[in-house]
Amino acid sequence: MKAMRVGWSIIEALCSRATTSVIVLVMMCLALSVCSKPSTQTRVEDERGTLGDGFPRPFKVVTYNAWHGLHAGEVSVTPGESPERNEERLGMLVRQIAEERPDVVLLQEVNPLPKRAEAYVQALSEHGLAYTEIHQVDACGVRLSEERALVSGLNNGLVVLAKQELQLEKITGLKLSGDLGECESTSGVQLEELRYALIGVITLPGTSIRYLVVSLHLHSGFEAGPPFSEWLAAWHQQGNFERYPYLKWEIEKTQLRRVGELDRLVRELNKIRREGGYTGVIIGGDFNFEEGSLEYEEAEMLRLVDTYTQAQGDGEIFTADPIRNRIISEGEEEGSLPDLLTAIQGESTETKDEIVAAYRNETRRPRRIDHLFVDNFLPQHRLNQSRFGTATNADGLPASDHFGIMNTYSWE
Amino acid sequence: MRRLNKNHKRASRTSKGPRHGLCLLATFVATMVFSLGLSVAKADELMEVQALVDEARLTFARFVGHPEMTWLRENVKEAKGVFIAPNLVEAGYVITGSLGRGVLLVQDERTGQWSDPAFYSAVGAGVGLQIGAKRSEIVALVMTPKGVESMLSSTVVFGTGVDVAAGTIGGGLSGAMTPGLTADIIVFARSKGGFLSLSLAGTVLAVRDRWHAVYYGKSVEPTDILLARDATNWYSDRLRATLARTGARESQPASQAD
Repeated sequence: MKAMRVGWSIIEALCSRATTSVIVLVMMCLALSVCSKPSTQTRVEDERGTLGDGFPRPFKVVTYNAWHGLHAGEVSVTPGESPERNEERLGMLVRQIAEERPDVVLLQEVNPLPKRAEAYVQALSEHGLAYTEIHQVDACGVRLSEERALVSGLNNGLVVLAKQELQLEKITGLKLSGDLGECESTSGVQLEELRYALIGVITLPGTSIRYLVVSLHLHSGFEAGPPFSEWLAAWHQQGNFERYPYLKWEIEKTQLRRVGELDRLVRELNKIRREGGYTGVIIGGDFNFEEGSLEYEEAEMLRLVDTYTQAQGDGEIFTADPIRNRIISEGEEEGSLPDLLTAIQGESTETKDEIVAAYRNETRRPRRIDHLFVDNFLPQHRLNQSRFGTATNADGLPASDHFGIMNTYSWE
Repeated sequence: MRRLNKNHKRASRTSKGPRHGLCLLATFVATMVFSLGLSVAKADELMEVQALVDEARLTFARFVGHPEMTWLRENVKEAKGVFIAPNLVEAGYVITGSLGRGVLLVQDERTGQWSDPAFYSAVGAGVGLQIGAKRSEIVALVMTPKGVESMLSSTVVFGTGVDVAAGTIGGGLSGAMTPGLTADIIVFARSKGGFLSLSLAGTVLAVRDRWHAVYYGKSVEPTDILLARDATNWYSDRLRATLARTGARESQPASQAD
């Protein structure tokens, strides 16, 4: 009591003065910061407790490029499929979500927003599943409202679905690259390629533990992974293709754009985490790069962990797989060919043919370009990783040109 | 009397109770607002500095990756320091002004390791044909100890007491190196339209002490960061690695260079 009285006297003395002492501020700041930091032990117990309420059951996170279903021409964007096929793909994805019941689904190429995201939520509710959604448009053309747009069918972007109990909230739609334009939910002007990340937060039920969840789709550009680059270099070394440094530079520029996008994202996430006291983050999406690339090294140096390397699973998980996925094998391989042809214009016909043939081989190669990266996400759990979205229709077509990946976290 | 005074004081304290409570509450709220404001401001500033580090690295990668930048690539290993300004904005009408931010890193002659960055503001003025605004990226190789020393003061007029030259561009296909660049500092510049000839002479560089404090968590001078290596931050690792990799790549035999 005596100590309290002395303390009170000091506070009283300080308060009675016109200028409130900085010391009190600092002390209170210190007290607040100490009180707001749970010990590691507490955090682990909280996580265990969370999964004890109706659990233990696995906690599942899916990332899936749902394919926008559009055909992008030189100057226009048109539907790339019939309305019936579009509906069929929606139904296929919803059925697979209903079957696996992932807690969080990180989607890319959802088109058109916000209708398509709302359609997922509605369709899942018809399966008795309560999900909420957040979204961010990353390709909008010129759009004045939901109904009025220069390219009416285009309002493509990122979505996060989460079980209702996780109290999903959108923090921001962060522009990662592209100077000319902004896309909002139902309006925007896009004068060049824009890339965004959708950042949200989930709260584990019955706890104050909050995780950041991110869905993103990085710049595509050349689909030139390590094998194509190595072939080009070796072919050049043999005395072919004099202008090789210029094509190499064009490839590097697309890589550097993705590196810049990753940097931008991680800076923002670090800032959000410093301000908000989030426990960790999971980032899923179509990264358009493979393990062993410059961008993958960048992610590692930014202290992100590829969950593929942590997980138990069944070997390589290819997400862009022309051997098993007819949609990607039937059309998408031509996607970035015009960029390549521009880069090698002026070469002899023989040289061009060689390079295009090698590039086609590259685009027919199964690749793992969709990833789930984490920083301290459910670290005490055993992780299993598997492919998602492999179901096909009667014609053998899956719901998208990509396969997704699913992380299943469970207590050992 | 003393007892009376004491009682009076006690009574006074009792009667002031709500006021003191309010005072404490106000202090508490002010503390929260104050500390939140400080942490947000600091977080914003740190993000700004990190953005400069990232942009500097991408600028450097874009310069050394370009097929025409042979001289730059081949001389990074020999450089004593590198100054990178990823976003120098020049604007005006006849009389022009330029404004930007930059980083300076110094290479340890013994180990070849690059330091963490020191941060600078760059402000320049001049007369030219400029109308409107132009954005440039700058990479300057500091080739001599004298050149490094010239950049260690808190305010530096770029090029004072040292030789500054515009860098040579070319040699992409032949791989030929252009001889004859012997200045203390060699400046390479690029705008959206392509590479430029720019010396930066007369540009004032001012050390950003505040950014050093935010980035390194303590108050440090450029010499502490660049020479004594008393300040480090893991966030610079990628920038340092890019510089190191460029030097290493160019020193490999041609057959391994790609």
